[in-house]
Amino acid sequence: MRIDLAGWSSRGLRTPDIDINLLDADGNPAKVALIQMPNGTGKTTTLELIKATLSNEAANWTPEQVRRLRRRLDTRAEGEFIVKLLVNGRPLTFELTLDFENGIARYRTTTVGSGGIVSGWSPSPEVHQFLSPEFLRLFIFDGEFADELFDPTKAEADRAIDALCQLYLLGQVSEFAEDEWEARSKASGPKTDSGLQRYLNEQTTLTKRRDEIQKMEAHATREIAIHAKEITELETKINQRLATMKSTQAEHATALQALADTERDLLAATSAAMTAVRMPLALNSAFGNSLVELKENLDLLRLPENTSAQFFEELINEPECICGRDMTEGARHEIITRSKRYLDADESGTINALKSDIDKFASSMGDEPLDEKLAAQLRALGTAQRARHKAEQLVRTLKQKLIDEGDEQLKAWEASLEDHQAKYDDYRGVIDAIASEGNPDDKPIFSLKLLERKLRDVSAKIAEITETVSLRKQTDILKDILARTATLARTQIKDELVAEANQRIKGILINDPLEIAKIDRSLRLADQEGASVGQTLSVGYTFLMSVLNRGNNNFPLVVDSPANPIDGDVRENIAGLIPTLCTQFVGFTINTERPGFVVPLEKAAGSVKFLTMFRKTDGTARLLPGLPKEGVVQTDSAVLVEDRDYFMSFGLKDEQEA
Amino acid sequence: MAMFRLRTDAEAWFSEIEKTPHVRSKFDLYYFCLMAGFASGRSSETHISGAGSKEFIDYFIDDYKPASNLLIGLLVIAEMKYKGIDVTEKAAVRALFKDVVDASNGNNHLTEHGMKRMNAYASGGFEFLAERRDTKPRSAEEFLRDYAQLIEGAVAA
Repeated sequence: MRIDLAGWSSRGLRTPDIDINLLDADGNPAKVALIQMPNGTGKTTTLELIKATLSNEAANWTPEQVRRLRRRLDTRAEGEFIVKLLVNGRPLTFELTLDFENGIARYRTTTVGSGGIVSGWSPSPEVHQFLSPEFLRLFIFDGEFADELFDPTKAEADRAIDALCQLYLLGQVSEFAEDEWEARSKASGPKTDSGLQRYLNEQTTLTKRRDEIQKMEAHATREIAIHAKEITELETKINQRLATMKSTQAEHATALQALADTERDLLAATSAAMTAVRMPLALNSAFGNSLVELKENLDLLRLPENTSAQFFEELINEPECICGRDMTEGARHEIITRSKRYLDADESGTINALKSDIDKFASSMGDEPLDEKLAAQLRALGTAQRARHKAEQLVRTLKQKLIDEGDEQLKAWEASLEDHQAKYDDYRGVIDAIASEGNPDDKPIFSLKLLERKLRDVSAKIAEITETVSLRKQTDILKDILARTATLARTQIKDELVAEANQRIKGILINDPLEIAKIDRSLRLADQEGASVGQTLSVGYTFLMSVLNRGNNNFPLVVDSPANPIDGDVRENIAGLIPTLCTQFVGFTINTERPGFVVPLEKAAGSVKFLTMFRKTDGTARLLPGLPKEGVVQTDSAVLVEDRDYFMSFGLKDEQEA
Repeated sequence: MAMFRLRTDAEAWFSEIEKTPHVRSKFDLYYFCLMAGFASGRSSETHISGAGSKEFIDYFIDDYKPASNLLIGLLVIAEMKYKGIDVTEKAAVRALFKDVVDASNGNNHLTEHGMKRMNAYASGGFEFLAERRDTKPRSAEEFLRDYAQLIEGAVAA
């Protein structure tokens, strides 16, 4: 990405009202632009406003901070500062408006081609990261930041490397991986090995129980077959005994027939009662009565109405309402709203069918009422039950008679039959429990279906958690690789930067060479603790420009008084280096910086945009007649001259007077 | 689409008579519970969703088709009592019908809410039956006689 500073403009602020255009004649940003501003013209304030406009920091200013930027004796309620950038050649403009009356700052952002003008500070996400106040310090450079590059308590050098060599991208990939994991694992419950283990244990327990139940089922099935066979054989033996013994022979045949007859009768009575029960009105007269009452009340309420909801839906399409009034939008809306309260044709049909069924029931009440019919059937059922019971009792009595007569064999068979029947019932119960649907809260579980269902659920959960846990491990590995990559890259870049910067410093500080020993959070000088202001600035420039030169992103380097604290030879060397190390250089200078700096800079850059600006005051009025014929812009508060010769000749005396 | 749901514990409770020739489908068991719910006025939404109950059908089977409208009518009556709606409140009665009846649902003519409430009465009815009997039903003939008395007792209460 390449970001260029295309210019800025100021209105109603402490800085003069002026438009600064940093583009050359063909619309491209000038490689080097020097803006000569005498002391008091507002260099520091301009830099502060450029940073604030680009970074959104004014949004947090106090009313006092806002009002501090109001021009003295100016009555305008608002001040405005606009910074124009080119991002990969496309304009991006930020407008900062300071409302002095309310003490607030407002932003507007203009992006050509994508989104137009939006209120607020709203750069695209890819530009956003480069416009933080911390990042802006890297390319809107001042002496204070140069000092901090050497401060071991701060990590400005490391931050500059991370930012300009895009090592932050590794951190962003790491954050993305973490966010993705969070999003994917959000709904999956446990995310750890211990959570997974809990489900694995449950799966083992359920599988074990299922195996037990399957064995139990096989065993019970075998036992049922064994006991059923025994029961059949014993019943045959007992019946043969009863049929062959003299004392029971005659009654036995009658008793067996009675048992068969009563069982048939009971089956028929139960069937008839069950059929009758399926009609709710037969169950109790109260049901029928309440339904008749409902029908009568629906009739009284005239439900369903003759007018259905569909009528109103058709009505709203008419030009007039049925009352003769015009069908206005308001009337239409009200009719649609209220029509929803009415039953539609289908709903009315269902209610009418209900009423018809109730009528059908009421008209049949003249015959035998259904509830009375059911009552009779239930009485018949009771009679059939008792008859069967009696028949069973008779068979039992005959058996007991033989036993009482000393038939030990029959007694033994009876005892054995009872035993087999009990076991048969027990195993039948086990099979029924195994075949049942089961209840989720059952403990222990016998239902095979429930066990299979729970196993399916827990297996699905395990699969889900396994994927989540595996994803966590992969995320951790990826983050570890990224962190190590960042560390290794940073170390290697630092080594290379130290070598590159030292090479350049050797060429710049010819008379007083110093060396960067290492970069450990800050720049550490070899064999010396500190450096002079000029040395600090020179090394700071060299370091920053070296980093800027390495990265894939290009930013403008904006510097306040680039040469002021630096002596002649060093100035010349730095000036020669600047155009080779950054894509755009913007310097705020005073005329005392010109010697030894401007000419070598111009020579290295090929061409320089020379701008001179001074305030319009009584003291500078004498400068106006001497302005060149072209390249002059005058506003109420300032004069801006774009002219090389004027820049070069703007004298020390003039500046002091300005 | 909303379906009739039978509680799993109800199915276990009826397991002995479900296998007899008289009880032809799960709808019979559901009906026993539902009518007990209507008679006692009990409804319970605790077990009508999730693993505590199972959907089994979405229409009135042939045995119950002649009674389907009457069962919907009994649901409306039960809901009127439950919500305290007087039979003279036309708007409220109409709204209640709209709430539970969906004529476009050809399978059972119930809205989602109507089916939910129907299942709630079946659930509440099962609780009523299970509370009133010491043991689960062992035979259809024995249960039918007892059931008729339980319904009578619930209606009279």
